[in-house]
Amino acid sequence: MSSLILEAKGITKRFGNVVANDRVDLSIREGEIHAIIGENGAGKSTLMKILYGMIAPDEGQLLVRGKSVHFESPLDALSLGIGMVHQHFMLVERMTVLENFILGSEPTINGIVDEKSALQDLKNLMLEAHTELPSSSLVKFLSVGQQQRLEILKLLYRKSDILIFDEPTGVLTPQEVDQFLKSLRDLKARGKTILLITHKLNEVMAVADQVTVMRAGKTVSSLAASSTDVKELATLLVGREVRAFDERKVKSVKKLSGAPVLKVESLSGVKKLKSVSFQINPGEILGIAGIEGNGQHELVQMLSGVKVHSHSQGASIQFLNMKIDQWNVEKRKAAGMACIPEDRHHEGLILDFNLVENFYLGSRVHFDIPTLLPFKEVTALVEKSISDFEIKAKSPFSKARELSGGNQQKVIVARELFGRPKLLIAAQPTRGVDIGAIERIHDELLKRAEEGMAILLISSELDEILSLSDRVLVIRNGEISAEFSDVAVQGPDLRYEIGRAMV
Amino acid sequence: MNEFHFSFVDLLLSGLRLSTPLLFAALGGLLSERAGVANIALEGFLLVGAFSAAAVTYLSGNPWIGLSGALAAGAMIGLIFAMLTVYAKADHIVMGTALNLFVVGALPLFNKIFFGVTGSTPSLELDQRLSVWFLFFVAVALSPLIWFFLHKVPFGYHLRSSGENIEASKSLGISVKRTRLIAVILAGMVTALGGAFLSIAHGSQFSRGMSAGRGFIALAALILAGWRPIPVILTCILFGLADAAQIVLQSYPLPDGSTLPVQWIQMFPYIVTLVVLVGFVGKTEPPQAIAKND
Ligand SMILES: Nc1ncnc2c1ncn2[C@@H]1O[C@H](COP(=O)(O)OP(=O)(O)OP(=O)(O)O)[C@@H](O)[C@H]1O
Ligand SMILES: [Mg+2]
Repeated sequence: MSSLILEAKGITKRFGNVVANDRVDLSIREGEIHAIIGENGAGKSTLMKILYGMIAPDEGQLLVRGKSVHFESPLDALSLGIGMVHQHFMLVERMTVLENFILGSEPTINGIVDEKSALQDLKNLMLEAHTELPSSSLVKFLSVGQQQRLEILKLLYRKSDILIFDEPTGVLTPQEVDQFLKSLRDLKARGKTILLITHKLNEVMAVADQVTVMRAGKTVSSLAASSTDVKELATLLVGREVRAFDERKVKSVKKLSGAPVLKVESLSGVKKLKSVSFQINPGEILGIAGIEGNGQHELVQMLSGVKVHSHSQGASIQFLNMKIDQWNVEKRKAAGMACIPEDRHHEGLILDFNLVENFYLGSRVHFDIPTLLPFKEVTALVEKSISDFEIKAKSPFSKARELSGGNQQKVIVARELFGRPKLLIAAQPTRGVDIGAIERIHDELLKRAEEGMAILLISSELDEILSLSDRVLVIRNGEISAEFSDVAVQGPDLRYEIGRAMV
Repeated sequence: MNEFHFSFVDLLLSGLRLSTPLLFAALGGLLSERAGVANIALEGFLLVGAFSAAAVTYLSGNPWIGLSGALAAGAMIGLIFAMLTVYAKADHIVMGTALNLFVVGALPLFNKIFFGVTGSTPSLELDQRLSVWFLFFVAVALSPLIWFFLHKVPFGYHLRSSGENIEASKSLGISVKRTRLIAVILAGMVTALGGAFLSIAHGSQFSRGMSAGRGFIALAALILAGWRPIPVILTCILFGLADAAQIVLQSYPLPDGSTLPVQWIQMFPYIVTLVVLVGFVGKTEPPQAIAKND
């Protein structure tokens, strides 16, 4: 095989008393796709940030093409051809595609940006990468998949030949994921070396040559992808056996009586949503499948009360027989609604607040004196959540920002379930969450549903929809394009049909 | 009995003239805020520009040297503000307030040192003053120049990205701190020209408090224009007209022959500002990383 292009030896990184990386060793061969997997908080992102020069290790050594290197900043890594596509994109939303493409390495003529040659470079690279982006549109108008492709183009423009991807597929639609995996193979064919962090083992099996497993800050094993399978990886990752994603844990199909928990009638939004009607019964899990950006976001906002509209004729939202169209978020929460929003950084947490504060802010209505922070009580609740959901946090007073992505998600789930809601709106509840924790969250959702909680599950992950829902609606262009009942019985057989209704 | 002459053209011309210091200050604010440094110190920048322009012109006898003095002093005060906010990482708003207070306190001291009194600099002769219209056209010409600078020059790219997304800028090797430092120094220089307008073009001396809140009005014009260099010309003219109207109204006769109390009329530009801010804040989008420290 080819030579080692990147090596990490004995890398240790501590944050206070948390050891994020504990004497980590990693060897990457030139031209391979190397997957790195591990539970939430295992230290994957930290290791990548070290390889990219974003943070400096406390101990250990990095070697690039056999030479020991020391990175002061990402620029040093970039100059050695190491580039990274971050979990949260590094794009300037209010600058154009072209501007972002060249930002920091602008070509100039007499001190003035040479837009012509930049545009030519962009077009050439787009052609090579079989992709098309509107060069003069602002980045904020791009879809997530397009933004990611721009990030890749940026790296190619900067002549990176070691590309690091931190959970690149978490935010993509199934189609985009396929396209992305294909582009990884393309990149590999062009001689690039790729490091890929993901929680999705089927992606690993689909593209990776080599897999390194991290657990609790250590690399526990590194094996050739051809010599392993999903089951073995899952076991290595969690340290115990997990049930595969598509093995449905059948909920005892017990029909709960009573009026529908939620009844939505011809609800229309201002952006996408067009006359959507459905209802959810107690104990029912209603899945909303669909490619992201087809009105799901607006639906969640209108149901949770973040956006209140009263324009459309005949539209109504009834919750437990109460007309709640005009209610604000707080009132809806107090009445027994809860919501896991899809974007944990913008809608779910205040990153600079600690966990106790974040927990309290989201569950304020459930405490007796809703204006004073019941400090001890909330702290105890957060401690309980931390142990119940195996959240990896230093203490209840850690800032949300200091938690790894998946652990942030678990904090939100714990908080939203705390008030014993009668209806949970769960939008992408397991995005970025490791497979062990997905199992934990899914079990909890199923248990709550058995106890009578209704769940509106919005997910772009078809596997997740299929393994939890009793009934599935497909949303397309803001409209319900298909309905499938008895999902529990028909299960996987519906996959193809649902997929077809999505496009 | 008051004779009241009202000419629409006069009002318009006067409004255009009075928009000049606003435009300089708003463009200064734009450079600073687009780079991510919230700048309520424009008022102080204006006063520093006004004082240094008047003082240097008086001492040298040449308004062009005075104007250069204003630029130099503007760069200095910009440097100080940048050191406090960008490098010492102090809160931008708190530091802006502190700087304004400091300038108000310090200028009379300098005035005393140079001219023996605290209140104002000695009056300039007519031929020692610059043309109002010349500075107006400089300000108007500066707007597209700054647009070009922001959109066509690498440093302009870096300036905007520093004001929008610190992490992304750093990941591309852009030094957010250095970029902001330079942007705020430029902001000081541009704003100081507005001060010079007040003391060596429109007026003939520096006097205490002569900026009269124009730094803040300029900020309102900047917000209203959505932090964009071309629309800001129009919003500054709007506020300039409000200022001009105030002066005209002071001699507007009521039916009984008296005039409205001056204090009420003088509130007019500020009320316009207030109304505009209430109506428009939040409707235009500020730079995303404004007031955030690297
Ligand atoms: N800036 C920080 N301050 C304090 N602790 C941190 C910081 N960044 C990471 N950590 C801690 O280091 C550990 C490893 O975090 P890291 O982000 O590397 O995990 P990860 O493997 O990427 O997890 P995920 O799959 O959830 O993204 C976690 O326990 C996290 O809380
Ligand atoms: Mg991570």
